[in-house]
Amino acid sequence: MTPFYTWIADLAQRGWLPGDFQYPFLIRGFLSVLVLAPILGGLSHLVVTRRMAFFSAALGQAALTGVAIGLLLGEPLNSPYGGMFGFCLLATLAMVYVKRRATLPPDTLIGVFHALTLGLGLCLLVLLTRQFNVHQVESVLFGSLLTVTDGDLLLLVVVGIVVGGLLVREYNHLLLDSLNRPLASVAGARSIYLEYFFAVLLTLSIVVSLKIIGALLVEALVVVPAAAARNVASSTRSYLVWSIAVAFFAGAGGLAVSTKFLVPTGGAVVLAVSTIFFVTLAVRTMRRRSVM
Amino acid sequence: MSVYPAATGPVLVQPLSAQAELLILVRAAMAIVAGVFIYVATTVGGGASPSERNLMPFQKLIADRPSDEQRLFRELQEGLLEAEGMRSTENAWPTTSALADAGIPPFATDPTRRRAYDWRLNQNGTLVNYLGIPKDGDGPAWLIVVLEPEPGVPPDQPFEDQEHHRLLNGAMLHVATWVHPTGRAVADRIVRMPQTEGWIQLYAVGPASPRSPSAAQP
Repeated sequence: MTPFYTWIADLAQRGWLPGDFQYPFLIRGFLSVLVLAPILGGLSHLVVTRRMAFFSAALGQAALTGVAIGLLLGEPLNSPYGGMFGFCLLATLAMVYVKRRATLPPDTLIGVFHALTLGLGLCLLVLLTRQFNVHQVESVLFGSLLTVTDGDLLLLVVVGIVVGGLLVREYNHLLLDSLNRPLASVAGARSIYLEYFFAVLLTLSIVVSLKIIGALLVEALVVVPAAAARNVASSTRSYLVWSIAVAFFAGAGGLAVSTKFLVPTGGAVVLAVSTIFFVTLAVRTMRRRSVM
Repeated sequence: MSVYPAATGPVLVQPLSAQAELLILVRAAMAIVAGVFIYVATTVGGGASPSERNLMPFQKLIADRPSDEQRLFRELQEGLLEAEGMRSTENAWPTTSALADAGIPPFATDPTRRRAYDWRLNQNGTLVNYLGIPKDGDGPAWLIVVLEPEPGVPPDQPFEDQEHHRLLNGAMLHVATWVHPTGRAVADRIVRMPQTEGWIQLYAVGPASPRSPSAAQP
């Protein structure tokens, strides 16, 4: 990747690109946003339609615990992917199963998992601070472009392609199942399979976005883009397109703010996406008034 | 009026039993655990040392750097200790010319050194930078970042290590040594977060603290 970074840096020095692009970490960050926007934007409107916002929050906390487990297993500080993927996938399967079979309301059950994984993660992190400088775990909590490596970018691209391909293959069934489960079943969709399938896709996407957005804030980027898109979209297709566009502009805007003001990337991305949400809300309100 | 196709009729939708669903989940969970076990077994312990595994992408061990850089790093550590001593006694950070006059490397002129540097002291509140830019514009630039404690704020850790030095008055400093591979790209100004400007943080032994805080209490 070094010749590519050198070429981009050269373009930045000639003034054809913003000056900040002379740093490889920022190029990696921008490429990450380019990959993340279609994944998270594409999943976002299904997350909202399937009412899985709280589930996404619980997954973020589970990822934090996964990081801690990975580090305790001896994985590298900068890429504890075994712990993250392993724990998050297990937590996902458990959450979906319990949600499907228990008689308690789903948000109550997810709340239990949320609290459990957070408590476990905190205890493990306290253990970890005896082995690591605690500042180094901050990047996992809040996201940091500086910790993204070429390996992370490659993983993001691979997972992006896999998630994108699977999502496209099952999109119609997923959408129908989200809107009307009995109708989807009659149309041949396997609801149980789709529920686990979507949860696993969401888990994979959240885990690969952690280093950029952070464990505590990742749910914002799988919920707010769809919420913003819903304010301006007029059809299912435009809902999807707006979700992706909002995720991209929030990611790129957050990246710029994070670099300019030296604040955590996750926080900057969330501020950007929230700003876009309120702008779309204002647009929607104005449109309604003009119709009336 | 439209006519329904002949295939239209009742569809039997049979959900999985709880037992069958659980069985599938247990198998999936076992596959996940096995996958993680294989991944961890093949990645942990292979290649990188424990110190290297704890490094972030913008951090390097000095042992892996060229010998020129190793020498300058060592001199910078000695020079920093001297500067900290002067800071303790004179209540102000010594200028680079004062350090050079006292013959303290790398601030003092050394004819045996391959590359000459312009050293500057930049200070803004509690943030102190000793910045070295190569005179010929070629080669790496060097930076020592020292963060003094804000008055009345307790230190974030009570024991000394390569990133935490204690002054004679008891104040704990946060110190870090950085190198920039392209010296000519470095501007003469205070740097607050060097990692965002292409600097590489250098460690002697890796950032993991070798002692637990409880064991290190005086």
